[in-house]
Amino acid sequence: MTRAARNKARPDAEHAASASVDFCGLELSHPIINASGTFDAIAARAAFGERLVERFPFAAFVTKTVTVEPRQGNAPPRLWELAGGMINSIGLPNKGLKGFLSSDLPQLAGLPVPLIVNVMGFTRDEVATLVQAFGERDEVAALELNVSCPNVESGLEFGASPDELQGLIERVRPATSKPLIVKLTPNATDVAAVARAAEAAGASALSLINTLRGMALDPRSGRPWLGAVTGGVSGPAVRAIALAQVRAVRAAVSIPVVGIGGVQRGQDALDLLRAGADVVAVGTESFRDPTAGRQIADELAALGTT
Amino acid sequence: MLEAVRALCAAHDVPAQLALESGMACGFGACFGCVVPTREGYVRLCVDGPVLDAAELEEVVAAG
Repeated sequence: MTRAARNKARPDAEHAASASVDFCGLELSHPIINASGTFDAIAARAAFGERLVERFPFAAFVTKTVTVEPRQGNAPPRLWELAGGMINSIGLPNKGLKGFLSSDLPQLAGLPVPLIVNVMGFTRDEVATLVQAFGERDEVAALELNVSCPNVESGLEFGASPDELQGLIERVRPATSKPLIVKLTPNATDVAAVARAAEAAGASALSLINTLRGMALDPRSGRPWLGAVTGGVSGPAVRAIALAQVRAVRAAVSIPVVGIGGVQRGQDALDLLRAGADVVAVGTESFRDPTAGRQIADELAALGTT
Repeated sequence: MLEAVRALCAAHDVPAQLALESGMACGFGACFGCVVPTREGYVRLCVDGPVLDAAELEEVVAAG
C-alpha cells in the first residue's frame, strides 16, 4: 500500500498532529469531545469491546453528571423523537459520588484520553463537595459544572441568572486548581451576561449549549408523553441556536468555549469553531453511531486541509 | 396484554418471562432512556432486557 493510500484509509493518522488543541492546559489530539450523558465509555467497552476504547471516538471523555447522592432518574417514558432530534428527560441517574469513585473511576482511569468529570449539586456546598472530591484525583483532568439541566426539579437553576451563577462559582472555585468548565443553559434571558459572570467568578472555560426545554404530547391521550412532563431538546434542531449563542458568548468572554449543539458532520463542527468555539462536543449524534465523534473529527481535519 | 399475562401468572403462581418494549436512543446502555420500573428499581431494557422475569415486575406499564 502506498503512503497516500494509507493516509486515505486512515485520515486521522495524518491529521492528528496538526489538529491538536490546547484546551485549558489539556492537550487534545483533535477538537472533538463528547457532550455529557451522550456517550458512556464503560457501556461502550462492554458492548463493542476494547477496540472502541483503543480507537477512542473523542479527544477527551466527559462523564455523565455525578451527584453527591445516588439518583434513580425520572419516571419513564424518558425519550421522544422529533423530526430534527429528540427530547429527553433522563433525570441524571447515577451511582452518586461514592459509587462513582469506587466503581466507575477505576474503569475510566485507563482511557487513552483526558477525563473530564461532570458534576451537579443542589446546593453550593454540594457542588463544592463534588469539586473538591474530584479535584483531588489524579485520574481527573478537569471538571465540568452542570448548572443548567432542565430535567430535574431542583428549584435552583444556578445557570439561569448571572448573580446565582457567580455566587456558585465563587464558592466552589477555591476547592480545586483543576480547570473548571461551566456548562451554560440556553434557557437564560441573557446568555452573554451569564457567561461574563462565570468568567468573572473564575470559570476556566464555558460549554454551551445544553438542551432547550421542550415538551411532547401523547397523540392518543393528549397528555404529556414524558414522565417528567418536559425535557431537553437536542439534535440538529438546536444547531442554529447553538451557533448564535456561541457567537454571543465568544464576544462576551476571553476564556475558551466548548461549542455544543446538533453536530452531525465535520462541517457542523467547523461552523461552531468559526462562530468562536475552541473545542466542539458531539451529543445526540453519538446515539445514532457511538463512533460518530471519530468520523466528525476526520471530516473536520479534511476540511481544515483543503 | 403483557400486564394481563403478568397478573394472571402472578395470581396462579406460574412463572413467566415477558418481552417488553421501550423507545431507545443509544441501544447499548449509555443513555438510560429505555428504563422500565421493576421491584429493584429502573432497569435498562437494552442491556438488562428486553425479556424480564415477570416476578421482577410490579406491573407492566405501557408507554404513554
